[in-house]
Amino acid sequence: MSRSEEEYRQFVGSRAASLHRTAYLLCGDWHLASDLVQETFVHTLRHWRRVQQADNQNAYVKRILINEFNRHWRRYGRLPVRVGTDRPEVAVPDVSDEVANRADLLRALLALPARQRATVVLRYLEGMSERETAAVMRCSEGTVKSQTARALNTLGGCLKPKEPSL
Amino acid sequence: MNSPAEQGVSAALRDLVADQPFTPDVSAIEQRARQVRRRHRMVQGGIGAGVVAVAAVTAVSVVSSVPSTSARPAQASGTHPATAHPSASPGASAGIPQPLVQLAAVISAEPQPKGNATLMERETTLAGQATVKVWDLYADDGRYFFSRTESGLPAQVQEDNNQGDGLFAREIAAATYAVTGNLDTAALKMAWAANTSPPPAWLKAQVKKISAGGLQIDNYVWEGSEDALTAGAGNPQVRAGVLRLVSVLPGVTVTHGTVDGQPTVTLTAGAAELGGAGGAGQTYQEAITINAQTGIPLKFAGGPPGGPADTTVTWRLTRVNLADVAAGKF
Repeated sequence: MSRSEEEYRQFVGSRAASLHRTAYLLCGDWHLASDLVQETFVHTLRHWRRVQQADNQNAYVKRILINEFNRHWRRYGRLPVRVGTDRPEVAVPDVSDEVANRADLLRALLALPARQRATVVLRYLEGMSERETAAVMRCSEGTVKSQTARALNTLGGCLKPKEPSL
Repeated sequence: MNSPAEQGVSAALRDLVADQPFTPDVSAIEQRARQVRRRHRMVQGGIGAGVVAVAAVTAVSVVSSVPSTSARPAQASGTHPATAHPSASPGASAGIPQPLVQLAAVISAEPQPKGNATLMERETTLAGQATVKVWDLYADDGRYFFSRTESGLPAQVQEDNNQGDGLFAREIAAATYAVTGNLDTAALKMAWAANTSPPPAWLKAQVKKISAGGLQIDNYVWEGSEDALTAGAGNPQVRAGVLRLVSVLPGVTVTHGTVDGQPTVTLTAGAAELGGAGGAGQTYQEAITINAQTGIPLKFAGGPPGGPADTTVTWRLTRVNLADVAAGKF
């Protein structure tokens, strides 16, 4: 195995779980998330030299993932989980104190416009800054702010108000 | 510092995706990337040794051993989106059959042509560059021979310098299966033709959703179908099977027209099938023009949507016998 191949495999191993989680929150289906990530890594390998030279590899590969997701979205205009009808596959532990209902939150997330959803996922799952998110989304920081505000407004109803600490 | 609402969303999202295991199939990724690279080289002119072209043509010469038919698709002009077939299974259509399905039915009834291989004289033109002509020889059994000169082909066959690596045989098998088989299964075979290992679960899961419009791997199917259409161009069953497979790809559009006086059908795949094939964020489309009566591929063009093609490939197709080629009699 060449050094480049070894580096690529290390890259895949180190980013796979994160990309998978992001993909799931974008599409709401673990199988589709796996597919999106696999294809993302194919594109990454095809452009591996460019990825290696990128200032921010994480942002670059996230951009590829977003493209893959957009490709699916443009084609079908809907997600595997029909919002409000089907129960999404939420393989997670007990409901936390801050979330009224995890399934409700996922439904609300998937009901967001694709751009808002991607913005929220990048900002609050990935912990990206507004500038980083804008770079991945190829939009201005102002757009990120406005998209985030709208999304938070929508999602807010799914969050229980935090009890004041004693 | 994030607000409490932002912190709440962040924590909730992390909860949603907690403890979900995922191990990427690196082997499949690498195989898929090799397939895409190989295909890219093919489309970009096949200048490298052993490189095949995916197809395209401005003029095609078909020898008499490949029969033509007077049958025509139902619609002779206009653009018709080849939207997902409501019934992916053959024979289950309740409505009017799509033009591609109709054409496939006509082609599949054609007799098997004489010979046991298809010789393709391929000319590739890249924008602003000289035209390159090479020769591809596709045996009906899946073997593939390549030569930069026509006179070099006999030696390739004599030495059995097969460069198909089993890929074309699997793609042709998938297309042939699609003629009468279940299209979900055929799509899975075509999507995974580049691999010799069993299809992984995630791929099966995607294919199962074709009839529900959930086919995420249509780029795999499109690319494999392109290969099959060229490698099996001399076989009416392969051409028919490819058309049936393409008929279920939701992003492919079908346009009727003419090339050099012969009626044609152009299959165009864009962002849905090819995604970021031009690189991250770049758009790219491919169009294959086939004879509207025989399904024989006539023209390929790849490039940005709405712009001039970056790549054009043309073919001259002839049915031959491998023994004759080996003997230099073709």
